[in-house]
Amino acid sequence: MELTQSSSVLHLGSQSDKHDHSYPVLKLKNISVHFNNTVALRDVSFELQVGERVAVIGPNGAGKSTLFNVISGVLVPSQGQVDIYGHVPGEHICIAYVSQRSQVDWQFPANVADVVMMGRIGRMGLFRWPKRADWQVVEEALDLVGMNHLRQRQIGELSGGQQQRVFIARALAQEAELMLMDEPLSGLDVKSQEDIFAILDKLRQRRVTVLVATHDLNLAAERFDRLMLLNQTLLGFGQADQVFTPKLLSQAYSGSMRLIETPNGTMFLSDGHCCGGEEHTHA
Amino acid sequence: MPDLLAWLTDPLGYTFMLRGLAAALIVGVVCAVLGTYIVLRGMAFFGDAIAHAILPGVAIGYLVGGTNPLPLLAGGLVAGILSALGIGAITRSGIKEDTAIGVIFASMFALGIALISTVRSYTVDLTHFLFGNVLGVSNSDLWLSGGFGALVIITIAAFYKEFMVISFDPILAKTLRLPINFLNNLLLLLIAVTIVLSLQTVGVALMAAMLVTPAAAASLLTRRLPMMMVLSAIIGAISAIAGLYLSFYVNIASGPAIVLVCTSFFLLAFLFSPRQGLLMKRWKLNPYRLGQTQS
Repeated sequence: MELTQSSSVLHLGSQSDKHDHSYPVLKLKNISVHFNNTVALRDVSFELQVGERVAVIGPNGAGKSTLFNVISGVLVPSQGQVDIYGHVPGEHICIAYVSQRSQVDWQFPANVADVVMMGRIGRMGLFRWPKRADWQVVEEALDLVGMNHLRQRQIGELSGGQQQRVFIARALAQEAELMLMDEPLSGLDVKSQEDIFAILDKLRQRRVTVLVATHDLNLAAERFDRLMLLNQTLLGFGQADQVFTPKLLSQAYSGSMRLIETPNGTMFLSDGHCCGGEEHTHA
Repeated sequence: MPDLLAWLTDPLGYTFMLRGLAAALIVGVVCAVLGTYIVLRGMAFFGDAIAHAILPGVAIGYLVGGTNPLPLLAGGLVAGILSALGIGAITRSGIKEDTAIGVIFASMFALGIALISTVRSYTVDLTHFLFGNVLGVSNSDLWLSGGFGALVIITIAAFYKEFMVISFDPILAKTLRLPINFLNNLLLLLIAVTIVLSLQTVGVALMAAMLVTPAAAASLLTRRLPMMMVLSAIIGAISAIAGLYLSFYVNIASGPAIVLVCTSFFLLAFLFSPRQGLLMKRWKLNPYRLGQTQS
């Protein structure tokens, strides 16, 4: 996991030249999303600063994936405005959506380097093949996530944590400045989660802004700069002690979480249904 | 030795065999290369459906222009594209895709047979459309297949990495701002073109085998996409040629002969693939062997 920062080909800086850093990296204004008759997001507004690491928490169907789809420009919101450095998301490929591992077929005939190279495709353009510079970027991205020694490995033979690191490397190869990670920590053992956090620390050094959807409230409270509590609306956005209040949590998790007052403070009891991946029940 | 050589060269003395071999080779390779995307995207049933659904278009082309290949090609293409669009429209209305495919494919096929049945030489013509008539390939047929086959291969080469990304991770494709609708429609168009140009070699009923089986066999032998395409093309080509020889000497219909050779390649890969073969897995797990060689 050595960082080769001096001779870096992953020049996030050159891309940033096009960006006006007087703007926040991401600014959402009154975003609402409706699917047919159900409301997925209502009137969500917030700003992210460059290099921040933010956890997005909330029950299943809270709209976390919808929010990511809107930010990445995959989904056009019913109302509201998304600004990436003052532009609409459709003009940017510096946003990476690090998909949930369950969303792709890991039996696909590709090795680790092939998958990371996919992140370069938007920059190569049609009818172009990878150049040496592209392979160099891929190699450096793999170095950063500590996967270069496995670059020839078949993706189906990787562990869950390794698969997640490959996806992060792919986002790096894309030269993303804003990474949206959908449940990167779920299903990973503690060691693999620590590997991911070590990579997130390196991303912070590179001034990459990271938005992570997670179900793990402990990790969210301990390892992120700010927390975003979401349940259709933005219920809270700030430090853990500002967001983890009995009032906000019961608003977010009404029905799936219980609050018990004890002499030592408030205890949260979850009913255990919160961690089975996104099911979009729009409860 | 001279006997074997004569066995191989004898059929080449007939021009219909030469033309048939060339046509089968083109179809074997083009179907096999395009087939890798069909297999990876789980579109086998879709490909089979489009193959059947081109029949009314081909029938109209035949009623208009006889065996002239251009009307056949145009009719088949139009019917194939309309069917693909129809399946898409029905799916968007909330009906499951495989149901939509089932409805469209059977009805188009029925319409095609109904149209062909208006002709007096009904059974012969129908058999050719259904199962191919590779030995009846004319020079103009051959040029047309060669031209369109080359076009399909060139298009796949040009959009190789884009097709790979939309097959592996559509969300990534979207965030990379790839023209997803264009690429999906282009792939459908390539499938329709390939099916129409393969019509005379294997016929609509057996088309799915040419599109799916070589790629399926190749997927058992390699775990990288470029190699999968190459192996698939080799399997498709050998099957086409070996099938035609089989047809010549054993005196069985050429389309089924090609498909059966292709299937035997798949079976071989299925049983003996070093990584995924059924027998190789058994053999590797054999406790007796493990005890003996300690590997």
